[in-house]
Amino acid sequence: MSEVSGERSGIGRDQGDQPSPAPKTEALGMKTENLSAFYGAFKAVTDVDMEIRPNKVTALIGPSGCGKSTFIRCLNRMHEVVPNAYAEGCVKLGDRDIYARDTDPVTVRRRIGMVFQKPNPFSKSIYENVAWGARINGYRGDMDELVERSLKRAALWDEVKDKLKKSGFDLSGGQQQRLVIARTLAVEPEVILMDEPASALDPVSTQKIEDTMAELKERYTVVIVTHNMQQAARISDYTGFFYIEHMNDPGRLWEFDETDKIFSSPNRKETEDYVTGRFG
Amino acid sequence: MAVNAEQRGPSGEGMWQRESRARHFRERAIKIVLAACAYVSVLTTFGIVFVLLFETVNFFREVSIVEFFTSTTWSAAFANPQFGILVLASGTLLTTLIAIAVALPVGLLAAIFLSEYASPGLRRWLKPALEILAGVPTIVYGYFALTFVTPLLRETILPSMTIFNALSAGLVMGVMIIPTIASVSEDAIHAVPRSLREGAYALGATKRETATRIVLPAALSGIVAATILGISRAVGETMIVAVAAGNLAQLTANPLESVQTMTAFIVQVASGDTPTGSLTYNTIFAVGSTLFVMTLILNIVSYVFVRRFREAY
Amino acid sequence: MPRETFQRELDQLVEEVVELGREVESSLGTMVEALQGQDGEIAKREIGVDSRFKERGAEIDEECMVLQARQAPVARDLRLVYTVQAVTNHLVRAGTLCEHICHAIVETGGADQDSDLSATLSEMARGARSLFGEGLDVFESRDIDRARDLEAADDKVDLLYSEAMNLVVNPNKEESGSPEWRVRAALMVHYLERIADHGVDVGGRTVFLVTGERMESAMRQYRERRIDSDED
Repeated sequence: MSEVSGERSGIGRDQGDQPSPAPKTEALGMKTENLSAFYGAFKAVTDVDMEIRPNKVTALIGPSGCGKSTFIRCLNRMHEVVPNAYAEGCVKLGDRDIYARDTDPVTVRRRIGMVFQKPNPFSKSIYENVAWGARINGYRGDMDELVERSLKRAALWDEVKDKLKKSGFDLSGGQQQRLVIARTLAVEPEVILMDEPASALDPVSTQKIEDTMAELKERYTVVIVTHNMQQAARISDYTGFFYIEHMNDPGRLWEFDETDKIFSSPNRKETEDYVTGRFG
Repeated sequence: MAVNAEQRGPSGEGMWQRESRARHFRERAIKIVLAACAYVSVLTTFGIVFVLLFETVNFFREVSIVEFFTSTTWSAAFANPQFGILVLASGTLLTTLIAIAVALPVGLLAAIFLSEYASPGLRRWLKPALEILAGVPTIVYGYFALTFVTPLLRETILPSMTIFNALSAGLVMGVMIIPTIASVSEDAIHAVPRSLREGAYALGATKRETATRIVLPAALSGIVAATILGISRAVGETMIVAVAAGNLAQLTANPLESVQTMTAFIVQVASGDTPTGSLTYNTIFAVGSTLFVMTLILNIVSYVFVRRFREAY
Repeated sequence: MPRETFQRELDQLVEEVVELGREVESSLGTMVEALQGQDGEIAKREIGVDSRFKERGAEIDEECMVLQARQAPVARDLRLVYTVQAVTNHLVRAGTLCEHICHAIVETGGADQDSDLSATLSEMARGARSLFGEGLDVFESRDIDRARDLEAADDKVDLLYSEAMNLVVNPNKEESGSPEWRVRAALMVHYLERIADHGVDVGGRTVFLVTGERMESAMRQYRERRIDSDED
């Protein structure tokens, strides 16, 4: 663990500072080298080399089934949770290979949090939803303060501060998703992975999540899979386009560049066809 | 049948209505058949309840209801009969407690193993194998208790135990309801969405933390339902206790002694030559009603519990 | 291909721009004719075109805005809408300059002229008009290889510009024309140079539309590519 943490201390870092205005904090970047992902004998993603810059939002776009969700799940070793699924290649958080033999996936996931497509709050109170992750990771500080700070950073505090004891299920879908983000922030990860976090939400909730993301990159490295290209264009600094050239091929990282470039003049025709909606 | 282009237009209206009427009739017919089947089962149930209540009322014409619930002696077949249902209820309670003490932990842990830890391949054959246990005739369990478990216990750790005793019957009954609890709990645990587990993993939770602190609470209502189902089966179980528990109606909390449960009493009377309409004959309806009310209460509790604690996930 | 309606709207937009361009080009033709003959009557025909061009330009602008609002174009679609707006601006401005020149011709109809300067003006006008037409051709065909030639043609117009300015500053002693005409001529030289520039810019915008790169860096690439292919 200590080797992974780099310049930051563990879970209780910058404890006590006020969440807003959020001071900029250096997060770690990530890097994949020749990363391939498999489901049993089926190769879903092949040979991805990507550099995920620290304190930036990196968006992954591409047609359905092109491997972007699989890829993002490889970034915190979540992919291998699925039976028979495994990954090959190298994924680095900072300088550390998270697939190294002596690395425990559980510690990897604490450093690299994840928010899923469907809001998945635990069957606990709002307070406990946020506190739980920090508690199992041995957080010893002021829990009330941590819960408040995390909820504030996820832009949910004002809406729930009077009903922290209520079940997480009592919240709307958009609030649930922000609760999940708060829960992830409470563990103080370096990187936050989001797998289509707003695809199940209404436009107003989506907008709130997007606004939250702009603030998150002040302290974290963010990677987001999205089907909404305008969303990718709005919120991300870098964009990776995943594509499958022929049926049954594994997905590839077809183009990776600054978002401005991808959405104004991408280098490859397939990327341009996809972002302009001329795909297929 | 196909309505082609020529048949469309104003002249086609009649066609439409005729066909619509024919279809309407078929729709009604199928609905009536289905409803009839549903009502048959409901009416049968009401019939049974009615007979039970009718005979029970007959019984209470001759026996004080206060005595029935307070007396500590049960001697239905004797010359001067005493009807203390507490005696039979204690037998039922004792064997059921022993059974649940065995089945709940084992069944629950088995369910957790099957759902969370077993590989899909292992789960694929282990779960049906477990469910086969539930298909073994209970008389087999009864003789298993009498001819194997009791001698084993007497020869090893409990020499003072009587041949017919509550402990063996309860233990074997526990084994009998393990599949019920394990299978239903496993369904409940398995039904907890993977997204919830992944949410926990994504926070750096271990498999154990995820299973015990996220998945189990989420599946709690299902587990409670499974437990109550198990209790209901234990309360209603007849053959094991009839064969292995001794049919000696005495008020005791000592599992090493013989007891008679309510079901065992009903079997004893029903299989004997008790004349129809006699007081002894009517007692089985009174006991049956008590049993019915007990299981009904359990089912209601389970229903309320499941409703109140159901997780939306 | 998905987004057919959107594609149709884009195609129609381009058509409107080209149509507007052709009209401006035809006005430029009239202007050249008027300039060559110093014919105020011909020039008069083009008085008032400016407001018509501006109106058309505003319509196209509005369509672009609506398209952006409704279709949120990105990548090549975004470049197209952006280019259409810029090109339209160039076309309208060239049209405005054309009317200015025609005005000047009308107002200096009977004035004394410097024949050398007059001849240079005419040549410049022809050059500017053809440059403008070629820029429009490049936009219409999106044949960006031809965009290279525009710069060479513009160099020629620039040369004429210097020559004309020289003549304005150092008038021919015998027939220097009236001072008023001379001032007007200086303005016309400037306008013509601007019209030529608009033509070059239309070509440059087209390069951006096709490649996503600015004219300057694209030109550099093309020059280098040509050298490479010559070596082959």
